[in-house]
Amino acid sequence: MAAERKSIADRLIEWIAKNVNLYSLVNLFSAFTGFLYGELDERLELREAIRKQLRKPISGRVSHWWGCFGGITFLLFMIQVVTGVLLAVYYRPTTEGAYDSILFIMNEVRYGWLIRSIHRYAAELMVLTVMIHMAKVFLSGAYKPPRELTWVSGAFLLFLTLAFGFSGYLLPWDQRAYWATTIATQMADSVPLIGKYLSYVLRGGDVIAQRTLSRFYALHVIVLPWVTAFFLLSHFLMIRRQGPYEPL
Amino acid sequence: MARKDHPFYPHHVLEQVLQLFLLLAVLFALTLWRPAGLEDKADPMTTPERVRPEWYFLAEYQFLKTVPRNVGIVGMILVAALIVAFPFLFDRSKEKFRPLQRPWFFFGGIVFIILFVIFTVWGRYS
Repeated sequence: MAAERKSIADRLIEWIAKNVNLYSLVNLFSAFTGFLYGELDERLELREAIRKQLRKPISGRVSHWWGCFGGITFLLFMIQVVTGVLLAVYYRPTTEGAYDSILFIMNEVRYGWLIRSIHRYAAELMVLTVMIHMAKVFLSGAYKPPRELTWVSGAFLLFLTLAFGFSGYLLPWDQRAYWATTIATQMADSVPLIGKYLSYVLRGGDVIAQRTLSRFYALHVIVLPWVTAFFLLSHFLMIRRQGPYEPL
Repeated sequence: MARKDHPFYPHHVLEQVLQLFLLLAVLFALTLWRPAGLEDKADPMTTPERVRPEWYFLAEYQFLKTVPRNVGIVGMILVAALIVAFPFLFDRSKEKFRPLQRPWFFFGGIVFIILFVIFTVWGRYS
């Protein structure tokens, strides 16, 4: 083949690679924090570790546009963390205050409407990209040995994403939130053996009330993020260790 | 077609940054087109006429409405367990990656996706 065809994206990446040097940024950072960094680097050899990580080769397959949905899901998760923290600054998880605090965020807080809308849309997009990522992995057989555990952690990440959606849905405390959660927790009743107990624990009682909201809030902003972070870390470490799959 | 390997930095990092900007553009566009809404404050005394879950729960919701409740719940738990344990149970050959080398799982996956979409659309318009 003669010269390889290059897309605009490839050219842009080449240009930036040539003109933006991250290593000099690392050096600049270490210069600014020199008094601390020198001490740290002397003991931990950070600079070498960072370089090694940055130079680690990645399979070209990940760059194929079909392979980008996992990465995009992670980017969406980071967007959710940032916008979620910003929302938590104004949100009040009480049955009296929740709805009004959302109104306050939408109408009074500067760019509050933007932050909340992005949080909402990013959540929906995240579910979509997780599903596409999963379908792609399944259809291409990328879960085959030795990558079973990466798949398992990914499956848990799907359930966690859905749990995020489910618990976050109640927080605005509007009609949709209240009644959708009512129906969903009624469905939990039908789980065999533990159904009654499960729905009672979910609601913190027989009906959706303050306890439910507190529970869902704690789940949404404390429990799920940390559990998700753990699964993300193991997901990434395994991918990093084993490299992306190479079909024959 | 597979491309050549490249280092994590700059190529991979820059692709991610590029994707981040595209993503933000999409999110801003969606937001400006239709900011997140808010209905009336929750009122335990008035049930709204129609309650529909978010789109990603529509398929599950429609499935539970279609089959008997207990069967549906158990079925969904089984599907979830199957998804988690799948790579340990089936399709373990290390050589067969291409769709036609593993037709059962490939087309099974396609059928599952199509069913999910059908149930979602059905749930939306029922």
